[in-house]
Amino acid sequence: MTTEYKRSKNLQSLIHFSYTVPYLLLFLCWLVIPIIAGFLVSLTKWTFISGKYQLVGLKNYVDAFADELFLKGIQNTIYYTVMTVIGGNLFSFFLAYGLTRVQRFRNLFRKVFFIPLLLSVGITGIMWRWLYNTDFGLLNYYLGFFGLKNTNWLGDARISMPAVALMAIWGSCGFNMLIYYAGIREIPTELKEAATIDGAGGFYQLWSIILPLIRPKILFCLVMSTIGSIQVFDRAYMLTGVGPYFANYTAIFHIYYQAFRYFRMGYASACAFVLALLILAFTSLLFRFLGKHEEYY
Amino acid sequence: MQWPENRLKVASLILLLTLSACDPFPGSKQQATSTTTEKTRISFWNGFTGPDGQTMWEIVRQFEADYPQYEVEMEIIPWSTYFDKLMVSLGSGKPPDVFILHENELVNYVLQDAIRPLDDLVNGPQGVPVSDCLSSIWERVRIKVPGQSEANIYGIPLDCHDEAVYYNKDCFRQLGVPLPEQLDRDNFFHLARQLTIDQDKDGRPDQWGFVFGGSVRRHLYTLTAQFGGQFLDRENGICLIDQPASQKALQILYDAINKDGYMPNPIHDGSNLWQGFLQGRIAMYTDGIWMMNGMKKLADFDWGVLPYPQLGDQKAVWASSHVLCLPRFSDTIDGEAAWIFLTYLSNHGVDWSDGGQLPARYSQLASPDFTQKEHYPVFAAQIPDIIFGPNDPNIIEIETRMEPCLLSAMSGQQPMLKMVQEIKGSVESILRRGVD
Amino acid sequence: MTERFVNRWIWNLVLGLFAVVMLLPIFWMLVTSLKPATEVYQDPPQILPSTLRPANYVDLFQQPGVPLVRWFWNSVFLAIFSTFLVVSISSLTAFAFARLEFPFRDQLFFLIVAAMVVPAQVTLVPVYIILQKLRWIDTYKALIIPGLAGPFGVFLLRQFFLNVPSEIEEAARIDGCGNLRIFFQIILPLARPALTTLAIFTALGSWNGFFWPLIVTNSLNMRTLPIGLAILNGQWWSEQHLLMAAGFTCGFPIFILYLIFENQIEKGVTAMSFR
Repeated sequence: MTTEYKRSKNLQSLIHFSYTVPYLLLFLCWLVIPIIAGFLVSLTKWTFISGKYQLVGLKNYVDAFADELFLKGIQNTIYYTVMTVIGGNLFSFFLAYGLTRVQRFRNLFRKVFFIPLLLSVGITGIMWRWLYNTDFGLLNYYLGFFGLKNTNWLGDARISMPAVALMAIWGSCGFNMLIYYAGIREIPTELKEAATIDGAGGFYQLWSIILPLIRPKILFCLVMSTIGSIQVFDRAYMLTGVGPYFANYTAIFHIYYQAFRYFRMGYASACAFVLALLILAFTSLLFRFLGKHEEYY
Repeated sequence: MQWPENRLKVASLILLLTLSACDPFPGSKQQATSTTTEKTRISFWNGFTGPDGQTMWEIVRQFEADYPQYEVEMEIIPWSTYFDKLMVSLGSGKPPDVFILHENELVNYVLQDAIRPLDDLVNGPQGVPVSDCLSSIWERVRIKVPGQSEANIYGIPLDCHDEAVYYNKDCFRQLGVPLPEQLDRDNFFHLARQLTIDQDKDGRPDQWGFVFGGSVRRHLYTLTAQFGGQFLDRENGICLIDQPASQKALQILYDAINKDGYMPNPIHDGSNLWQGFLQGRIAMYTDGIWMMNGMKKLADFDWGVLPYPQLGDQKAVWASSHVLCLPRFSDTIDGEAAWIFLTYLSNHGVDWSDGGQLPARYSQLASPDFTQKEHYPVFAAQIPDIIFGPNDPNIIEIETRMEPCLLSAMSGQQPMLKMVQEIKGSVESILRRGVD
Repeated sequence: MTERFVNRWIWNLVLGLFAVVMLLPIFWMLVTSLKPATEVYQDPPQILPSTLRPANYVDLFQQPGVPLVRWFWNSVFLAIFSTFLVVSISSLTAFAFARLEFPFRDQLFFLIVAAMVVPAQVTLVPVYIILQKLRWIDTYKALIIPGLAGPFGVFLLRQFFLNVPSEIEEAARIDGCGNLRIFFQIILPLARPALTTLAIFTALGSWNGFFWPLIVTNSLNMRTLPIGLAILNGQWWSEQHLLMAAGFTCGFPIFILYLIFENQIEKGVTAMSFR
C-alpha cells in the first residue's frame, strides 16, 4: 500500500514538474547557459568568424577599466540615469498629484499623459530629432521668443545628453504617473481628513502622509526607471548616434560597438559584466535607502 | 468581455502567423525571372543601395543573358548593416558566393581567415590580367598574412572612387568670377572667401564658398598626404596626427570654419551640406565620384567638376576601391561559377562606371566609351595621385574613435591640441592592441 | 470653499498646459507630414501649413526599398506572439510553482528569482553567438524565443497565485477536478488582472524593443518598426515630411488600440505595483 502510494506520489510530482519544463528549458538555454558562457567568453579573446579563442584571464576586465571610452560611456550613463530617473519621477509624481487635485478633466488628462508611452521609440526618435532641429525645429522657434536663439540641441556636447533625457522623460512619464496616481488614491481619505482637521496644510499632507505611504511605489518606480535608464540605447541612437564628442555614448553603446561592429566578443562580454555590476550597485543602493525590510515571497 | 477577447487574440494570432508565412511583401531580395533548378545559383552581396544598385542590376542581367547556365541571386544591403550580416554569415558557414569589401577593410577579414586567396585562380586559365589592374589598388589586395612567406591576392578590384570638387557655375557667374580650371594655393582661399556672401547681413552667410563634404577624415588623409605625411605608421604603431603634415592639414580644415569662414560648421545638425549644395547655397562642394548620379538627377543649376584642390606641396587625393572577394569557408560555394561571375564583373568596369565609379583597369580607363563621359575624366585624371586611407585591421574602430574628436576640433567645440592628443593616444592604443 | 475652487482651477490650468506640451510634438509630426516638400524646411517654421498635401501619405507607400508595412507587421506580430507565449508559459509555470508540489520546487524558484537580478546585457553576446551557430540570426525565432526565458512573468504570476484563496481550489479538488482543469477554469479567470498586467508589460516591451532586433536581424525585411524607422531616420533626412508621415502612420493604429483597450491597460499598469 505504501509503495503504491509512493509511486503515485512520484508520478504526481513528475507531472507537476512537467508543467514547469517548457519554461525551465527556455530558462536554462537562454539565461543560465548564456550567463555562464558570457562569463567564460569574457575571459578569452574570441575571434568571431573562426570561433577560435585564447584564454586571457581577467585581462579584458583590466582593459575595460583602463579604456577611457568605456569609462566615458559609464559616466554618460550615470549622468543620463540621474537626470532621467530623478527628473522623470519628479515630473511623474507632479502630474499624478495634479490629477488627484482636479476633477472635471481628470480622465482626459490621464489619457493624454499616457499617450507618449504608446508611441514606439522609433516614432518618438524621429519626431524629436526633427523637433530639436537647429534651424527648422519647432523647439528653437518657441525658444526664440525667450531670446534663446538657435540652440544646437543635438550638436552641442553640453546639452546633447540633457536633450536625450528630456525626450525620455516625455516618452515615459505616463507610466510612473499612473502608478503614483494609484498609490495616492489608495491612501484612505480618513487620514487626509484627520490631518485637515488638525490644521495641516496641503503641503504638509503631501510631505508627511502621502509620500511615506507611497514609499513602496516610489521604490518600485525608481528601481524600474534606473534599470531602464542605465540600459538606454535606442533613444540616444535615434537622436544622435554617439553624439558630439561622444556626449551620448553610453556604456551600452560601447558594448554594442565592441561586440557588433568590431566583433571583439571577449572584451564586450567583460564590459557587459562591468555594466551589470554597476546596475546591481545602483539598485541595491536604492533598496537600502528606500526599501523597508519587506518580504516579497 | 474576457472570452471573446481571447478568441479574438487567438484568431488574429493565427491570421498573422499565416500572413507572415506567406511573405506577401516585396523585399530587397529580387530574384531573377526563372528559377529552374538546373541553373547554378551564385549569391552576390553588396551595399549598392541607390542608383548604383540599378547599374549593377543591369550588369547582372547581362551576365545571366551571356551565361544562361548561371543564375545570380543578388542581395543589396545598406552599408550600415552590411558588415554585420557578412560577419555572421562568414562565421556560420553560409556566406555569399561573391561579396564586396572596401579595400581598407580587406585586411581585417583576411586576418580572420575568412577570405579565399585567389592566386591560383588569377594565374589560371580564366585569369585576370594583373598588369591591366591599377597598380596602386593591386598593392592593397595583395596581403601578406603573418606566418606566411608570401603575399597572396585576396580580392579583385571592381572599381576605384576618389573625390573632387563639384561646383555651381551660376554662383561664379553671379559674381562675375571667371570659372577656374584648377584650385591650388594661389587661388583657392581667395575664391572660397570671395564666394562666401552674407547678403542680409545677419552674421550668417547665405552662400558658402567651399565645403569639405562627405566625411571629414578623408579630407584629413588627403591634405596630410599633400603635405607629404600620412596618418598612421602601421609598422611602428604610431599615429602621426601630431606631425607637421597633419597639423597643417588640420589647420586648413579648422580655419575653413572658424577663421576664413567659407565653410559652415558641420556639427550643426540642421545643416545638411549636400542638401545645401543642391539648393544652391554652396558654391563648391567636395565629395566622391559616387555622388555623380545624385547630382545629375537633382541639381537644377549649371554645374561642373574640378580636381581636388592642391593646398600642400604635393598632389594627393583620397581614394578607395570596391573589391570582389570569395569566402574561404562555405558549404554551398561553386568555385568555378563564382569566379566566372567575379571576372565578368571585373571585365565590365566601364558599364559599372555608370553607377558613379572609375574602372579599375587601365584598358577600361583608356577606352573611348569611358573617356567620352562627361565629368568622369576629371576624376580619372587624379588616379596617379591617389592615396588610400589606412588599412589597419582595426580600421573601423580607429575611424569610429577618431571621427567625433576630429569633428569637435574642427568645429571649435573642443580645443584642437586636446583632440589631437586624444586621437593620437587612443589610436595608438588600438594599434598596440592589434587583432584579437 | 473658494480657496479650494481656485486651487483646483490652478491645477487644471497647469495640467492643461502640460497636456498641450505633451501633445505638441505629436501635433508637429502630423503637421509636418502634411506639408508639401518645399514648405518643410522653413526658418522660421510654420505651425500651420499654407497648403495641405495628404498625398504625402500616398508617396510614402510608393517609396522603393522601404517595406514600411512589413516592418509594422513584424512588430505587431512579434508583440502579439511574444505576449501570448509569455503569458501562457509563465502562467502554467507559475501555477506549478505556487500550487503544486514537486521536489526542489522552492530551490528552483529561488534560482529563477536570482536570475532576475542579472541584467540583460550580460547574456547579449553569448546568446548572439548561440543564435549564430544555430543559424537563427535574421529569423523570427531569434526575435521571440530568447525573450521567453524572462523570469519576470513567472515571478509576478506566482506572487499573484499565492494570494488566491485556496478554498475554491480545494472545493474543486474535492469535486474531482484535475490540476489542468483547475488551472484553466479557476485560476486563470481569477488571475485576469495579473495576466493583463503581464500582457501589457510584455507587449510594450516587445513593441519598443530596439537593441535586440537591431543586432539579431540584418535583412531589411526582417527589421522591426523601430529599427526600420531608425534606418529611415538616416535615409530620409532631407525628406522630413515623408519621415513624419511614416511615424504618424505607425503610431495611429496603436492609438486606436489604446482607445479601445484603455481601461484594461490602465488597470494593468496600476495593478503592477501592488507590491
